[in-house]
Amino acid sequence: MSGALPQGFAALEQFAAWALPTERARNAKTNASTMAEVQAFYDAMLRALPGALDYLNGFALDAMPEPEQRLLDLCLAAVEAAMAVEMFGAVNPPYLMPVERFEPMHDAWAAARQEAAS
Amino acid sequence: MSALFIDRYPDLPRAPVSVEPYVSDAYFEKERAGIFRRCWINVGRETDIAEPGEYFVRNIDVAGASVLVVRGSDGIVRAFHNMCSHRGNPVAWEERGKCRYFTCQFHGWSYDTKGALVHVSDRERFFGLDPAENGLTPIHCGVWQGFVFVNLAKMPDESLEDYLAPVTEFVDGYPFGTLVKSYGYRAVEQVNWKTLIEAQMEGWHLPYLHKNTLAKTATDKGKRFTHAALRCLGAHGLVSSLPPESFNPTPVTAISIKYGVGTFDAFAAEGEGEGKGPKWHGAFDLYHIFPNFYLGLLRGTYFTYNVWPLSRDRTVWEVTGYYPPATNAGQVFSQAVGGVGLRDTLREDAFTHEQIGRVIGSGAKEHFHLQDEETVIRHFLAQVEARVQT
Repeated sequence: MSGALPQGFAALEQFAAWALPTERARNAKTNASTMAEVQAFYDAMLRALPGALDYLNGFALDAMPEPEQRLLDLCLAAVEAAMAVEMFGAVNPPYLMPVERFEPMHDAWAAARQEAAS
Repeated sequence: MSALFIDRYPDLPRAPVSVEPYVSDAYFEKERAGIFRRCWINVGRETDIAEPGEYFVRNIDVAGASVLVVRGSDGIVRAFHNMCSHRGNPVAWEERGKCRYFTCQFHGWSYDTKGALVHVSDRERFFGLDPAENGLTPIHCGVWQGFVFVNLAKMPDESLEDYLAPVTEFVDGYPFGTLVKSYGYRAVEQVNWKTLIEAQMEGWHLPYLHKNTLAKTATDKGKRFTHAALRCLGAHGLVSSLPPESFNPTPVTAISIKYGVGTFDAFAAEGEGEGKGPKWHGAFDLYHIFPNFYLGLLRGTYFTYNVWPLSRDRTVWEVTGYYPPATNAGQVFSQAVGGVGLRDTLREDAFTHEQIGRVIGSGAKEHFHLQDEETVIRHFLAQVEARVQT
């Protein structure tokens, strides 16, 4: 099953490609998108976030079914989109060290999921 | 002119500072010996090695050393040179792990987790070798508030406790034990280590360099930037920032605040300064622990920087963020807003470091100018200079 989100979040299915499991992947997705694509995703997520987070808070982090994990990934992708929309007004903004050179050393959610799966 | 921060420190010079320490190879060589082989250096958290037999390796390239920190079978945290007594091969090749013995992969000598040499391959063919005299070489090691420090000197000038005392007086009481690693980044930068360190020693650059990120949500309209406090604390320093006059979170930050502690909101949080906790100076108390460690304290979250010189113009910057353990998705989300927001703020810093690194050796400038809000930089440079000259 790929791309399926929990019931009630069908409106976000069109953004399933943003549901990526690591910070690095979510950031790369943002930087590989046009500003219009990022804006559309951001707008949809801004509406969906409170409902999605309230819903996800009903699940234990280490026992989250796959569709719920995907929804959380989508929420976290919105964090990257928000940097582009709210802070910089651009994807790949200039005058920052390239994000590829800021190597993530600890990705708490990715680690927690890996532990739960093992 | 109002009272100056520097007035408190009459010994600090007020003259322009020399560019020489950033560009001189000879100066860097003196820093290796006078600073990195003599000062207490933070190498990690004790919780990284919670179980007996757990270890991590920290390469301190500037001192030409690989440090193996291990919790022994007796539960005690020790540090050793990661170097076999036979012919010098590091006995631990992984960055971290757990074991009962460290076996050298070159010729099979083995050491236990307390550093004792317990197996010598082909022992009968060595010449008067005494295993009891040839354990792993110990390194002075101490723990404060769960932070593991090592000192590479044969005999440190002072104990870790005495070294940190001017800072612990204020910081003790901060709930380090309740916060866990949430995010971390590592960047290798083309810059002298002191340029990187000093960029964090004043908040004055926030409204300029970080106008798109950290300063976006904070407004101090028409006011001259000033710190809550600047202090020289032994070899160390404190750079404390006031909460902004008003905090206007972006939409996603505003959502995150409802679900947990972030970072941008923590910068704006004020708490009570009394009672059991640490002694706060402002909303964000950033302690520089000489020479290469930072402790950034906020209400409900803190972060650390470890700065590792590789050469005169090459430096590693490690950033680690700590939060209460995330127990639900909302907290994961709010911590991500904090971590990613700080990441991109620090990428702005890192870009500037390298811009400066690119031109600082041009010879165009012999001196730089520092204003009163940059007093802690003067203190840092004086501390460096004192150790380079001895």
